[in-house]
Amino acid sequence: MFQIIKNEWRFLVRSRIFLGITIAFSAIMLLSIFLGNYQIKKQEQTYQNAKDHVRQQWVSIDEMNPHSAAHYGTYVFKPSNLLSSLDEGVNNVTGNVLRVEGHVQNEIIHSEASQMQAVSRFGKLKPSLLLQYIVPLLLIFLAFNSVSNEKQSGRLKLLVLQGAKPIQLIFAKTLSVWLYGILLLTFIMTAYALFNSQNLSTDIVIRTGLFFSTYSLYYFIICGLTVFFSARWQNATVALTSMLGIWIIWTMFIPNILMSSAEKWYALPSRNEFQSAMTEDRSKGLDGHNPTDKRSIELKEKVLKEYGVDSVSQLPINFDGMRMQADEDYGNSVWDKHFGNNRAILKQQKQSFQLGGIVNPFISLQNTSMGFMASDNLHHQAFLLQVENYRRVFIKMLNDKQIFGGSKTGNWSWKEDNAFFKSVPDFEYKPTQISEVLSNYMLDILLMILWSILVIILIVYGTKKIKII
Amino acid sequence: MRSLKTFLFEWKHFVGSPFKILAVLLFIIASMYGLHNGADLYHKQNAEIERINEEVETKKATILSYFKNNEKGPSEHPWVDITTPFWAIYNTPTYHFKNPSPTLVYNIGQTEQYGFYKLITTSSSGYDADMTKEIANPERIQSGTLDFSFVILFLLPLLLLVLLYNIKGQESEHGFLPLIFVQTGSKNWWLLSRTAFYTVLLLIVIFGLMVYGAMLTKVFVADTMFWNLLLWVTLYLFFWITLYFLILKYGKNTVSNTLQMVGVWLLFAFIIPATVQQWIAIEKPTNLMVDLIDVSRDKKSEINAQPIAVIDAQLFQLYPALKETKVAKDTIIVQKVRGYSSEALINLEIKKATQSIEADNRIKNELISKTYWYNPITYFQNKLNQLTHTDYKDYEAFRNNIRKSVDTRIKMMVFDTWNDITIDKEKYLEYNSTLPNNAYY
Amino acid sequence: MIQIQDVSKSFKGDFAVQNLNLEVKKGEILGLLGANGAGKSTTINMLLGFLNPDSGNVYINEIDTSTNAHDTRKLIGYIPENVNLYPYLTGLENLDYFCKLAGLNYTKDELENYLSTCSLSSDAHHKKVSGYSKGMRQKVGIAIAYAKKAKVYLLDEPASGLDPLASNELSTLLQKLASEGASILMASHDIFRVREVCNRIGILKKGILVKELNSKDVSANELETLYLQFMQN
Repeated sequence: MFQIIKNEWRFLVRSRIFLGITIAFSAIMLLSIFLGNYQIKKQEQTYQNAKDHVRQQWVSIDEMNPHSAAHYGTYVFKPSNLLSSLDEGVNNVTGNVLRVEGHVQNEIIHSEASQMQAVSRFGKLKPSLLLQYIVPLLLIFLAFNSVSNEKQSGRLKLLVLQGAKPIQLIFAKTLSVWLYGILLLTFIMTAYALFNSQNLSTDIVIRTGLFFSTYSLYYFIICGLTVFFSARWQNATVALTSMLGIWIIWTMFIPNILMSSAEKWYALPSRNEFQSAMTEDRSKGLDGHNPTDKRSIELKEKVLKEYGVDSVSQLPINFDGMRMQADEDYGNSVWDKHFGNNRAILKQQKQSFQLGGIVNPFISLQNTSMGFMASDNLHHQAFLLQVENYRRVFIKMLNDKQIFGGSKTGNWSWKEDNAFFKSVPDFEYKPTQISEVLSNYMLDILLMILWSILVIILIVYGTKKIKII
Repeated sequence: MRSLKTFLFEWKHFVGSPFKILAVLLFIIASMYGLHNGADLYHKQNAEIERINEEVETKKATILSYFKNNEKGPSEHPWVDITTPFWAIYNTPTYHFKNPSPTLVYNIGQTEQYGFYKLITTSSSGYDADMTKEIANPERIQSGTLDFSFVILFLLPLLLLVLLYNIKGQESEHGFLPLIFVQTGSKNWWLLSRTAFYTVLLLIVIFGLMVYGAMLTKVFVADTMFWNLLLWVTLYLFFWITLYFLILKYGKNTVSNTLQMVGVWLLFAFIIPATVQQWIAIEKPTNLMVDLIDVSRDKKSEINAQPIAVIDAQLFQLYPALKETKVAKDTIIVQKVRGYSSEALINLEIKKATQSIEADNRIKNELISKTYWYNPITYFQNKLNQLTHTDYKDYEAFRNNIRKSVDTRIKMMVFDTWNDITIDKEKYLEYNSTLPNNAYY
Repeated sequence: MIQIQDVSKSFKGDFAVQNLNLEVKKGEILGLLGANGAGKSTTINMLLGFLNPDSGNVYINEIDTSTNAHDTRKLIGYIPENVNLYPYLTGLENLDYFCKLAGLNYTKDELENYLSTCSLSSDAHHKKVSGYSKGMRQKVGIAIAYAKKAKVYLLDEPASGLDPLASNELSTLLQKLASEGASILMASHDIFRVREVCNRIGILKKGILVKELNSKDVSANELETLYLQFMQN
């Protein structure tokens, strides 16, 4: 088998066209890594400037009423991630700016895609674009006539006569083309590591390792299937057109159709419906800004009883702040219910899409690629959740200051000084743990392994029926 | 005559190839799926608009009931007084809609990047949170909806490839190409006639599909949109036919021709647009709207913290006729009047900030336009977006209309406040007719 | 030694070979003459173990090919009408590759020696096969079989398309191999070449061996007349 692989590689190395394509392709890959990195770093600079600017505004508050500060709020920007220079996933279409304030959970807004006309339907020139769409095509072109050529030329007879078993031949041909894919993958990962040598962490190494592994699996599936077709069909053109057909169906048809269908099977509410439902549920709770609200009065009675006083003016604390926090707590539970419902729907959609990997390993590849590169919807949702958690801590800190900071009920002109605002922590994004990501994508990995096994079975059983003459 | 025979004989080649027939069938199925996706979105948006219109009517009826019962507003919000211009206008529900064009059936374009309805208030801007896209799965948006334009822009060249790839190559590989050239006399006419067959076949298929699409929405009601779209789709088809014809003319064998065709397709569909997008993201990174944030926080505070005389001077500069109002003449200083009126000054600052954002975006669009001569798919894509009113510029116009509506609203609120007008049912109805829901394509 | 005993083979009800009996002894060259579709290639494919007979037995050195194809193939050298080698490899590299597939590791000198023995001029050894003539490729093909130390050589139309000089060289080479003890079966249309190279000649018609004779017993012209008679009847 080694001899066959060696011979295949001798062909690859000696073919000028192939060498030309390899050099050109490597150059494009290098360009994609370089531009991807450069763009992410530039975006990171914009992000850092915006973050610093907003933080500076916050820490520069000389004095302000804590609840006014809750309305003044702050902004969280979605951080750019160096991993997304390999696969930007959903980052192009999701918003980047999220206003954090009291009483309300805002939507993340200002996506990159909304800031200009449409350009590329398949995203930016990231390595993932080349690795997902173009490298498999290259592998198909390398493999489609690997066996049929031997058959058509009559060399297959000679090879078998010399002792080569058809199965060995097909595996060797598969492996040699697959190794080429692995070589390109290694090249891209090495270039990425070199460009980011100073920022490599264990997390990044593990994630890129998983990224590498899933692409390797996919390439094996593509190479194995192509060589199998090459062996089974009578001529190379049929093998090529069959694989091109599969490539089109796998990459163009099924992902689009399945994703659109999943969104229909598990429909998300429209924004208006969502907000109306939120408003309705929220109206059943306490209105923080309305002291005459029935539920406010009930809370007031309860607090007065707790403190053993007759009126809010006798309270040692500021009841306004307490009412605001009660409003927040209720609002949070409403948000948890509705946003949680949306998250559940998104999860169902994702799971249906993941199951699409049974018929299309490209879906599994796409999922794992963005998942491991921290640019999928799960990471985006985790980010939104972190921001919401931060908002709750942030607002509670301000409300607590209003309650226990020394002011009295109704004293809206009471203000906190700069030291307090400085003490309010800034939002810090904590990347999702790789263990969590892995558990989300175990199904995809498993399906790709199953596909690889299926390809091996196809080769083993299918080649038994190969006509040598 | 010979060419006509070749053209007609191609039918036999076509029906003799199950692979080609299957490809055409798949194309038709994908197109129909895409058309239904477009039509679904069209109906969904219209239904949502209708639902909102109904909500507006309910809201209006509620406010009118306050007037009828001599109430100032909802009892749980005692601070609301609908007899004042501010609260009356605040409670005049106005939505602006980006109505879906019936041609959405053919092309979803950038529709899903933006919101299509907007509640107008005196503090609205085209960049508010509710101007973002509908709640949707970003992974689906990222992978893009399979609409008819996707099928045309990306799958049509592939279908064409499948139909044409073995012309000439097959004859050459079986060794009878010279015989064909000898028999036909002109190899170009032979090649052209065969290619023309598939062009006509695809034109018929596309026309049929577009008519089918037109039945799903009211496309023919909308002027000449159908024919314009058909024209551009035809031009796009001819663009690819020409490219592939040249490859076949100069190509030597089936495999090499297929490789070249796929190569050209990859270049135009993937490499060039993706590189352009990457380059633009480097030239102009995503705007994080810090200017707008500054207006909504610091500028707003600065304006409100100004001495009354300064605010007055700024308002008079903005609206010179304001000097003639009752409040101005009587020099009655009412804090609240200024409090609400400063919305006009904030709006002015918002407009300045959004203008710089729009200018930034315009630069990006200009950069994209400059690449059209070597980036044909993006060109045709944006052309289809324009024709179906799903382009960035359509949403820019939508934002501009929102801005104008906000201007009108604020001006009305400021003047009526400064004229110390008390709002009754008739005046409220007048507000509703002056500030109606508006729809744009 | 090649033995074919009462072998029949049919495809979709049509006999390709019918009750065929043949034997090629050590040091003997048998020429199989016949028109297209006469069953020559089917016979060779059964000897190669790529087809199993419907009835009868095929032996290579007394080993049944239908049950022990893997073992019999080790003994066979096969030279098809067109020896399609890897064009991007040199003659020497091709020989090396095919030898290694058979588990044979030769030194460069040994490989060169095999090529030279098979009459491939030494200046061609290191040239890419893409530049070889058909005759040169045939020689490399024979060298592959020779280096394998094949006991049996099966040649399917080996002289087709060769120029007279190359054809003559091939004849000499085959006679040399036979003299070293190989059993050779050569299927061909070329009556004159078969008459010149082979010890015995069989004429196949529609899968039936209609005539078997010693080449010494007939002149080339007589053989042609005989052949045409069989074909026309």
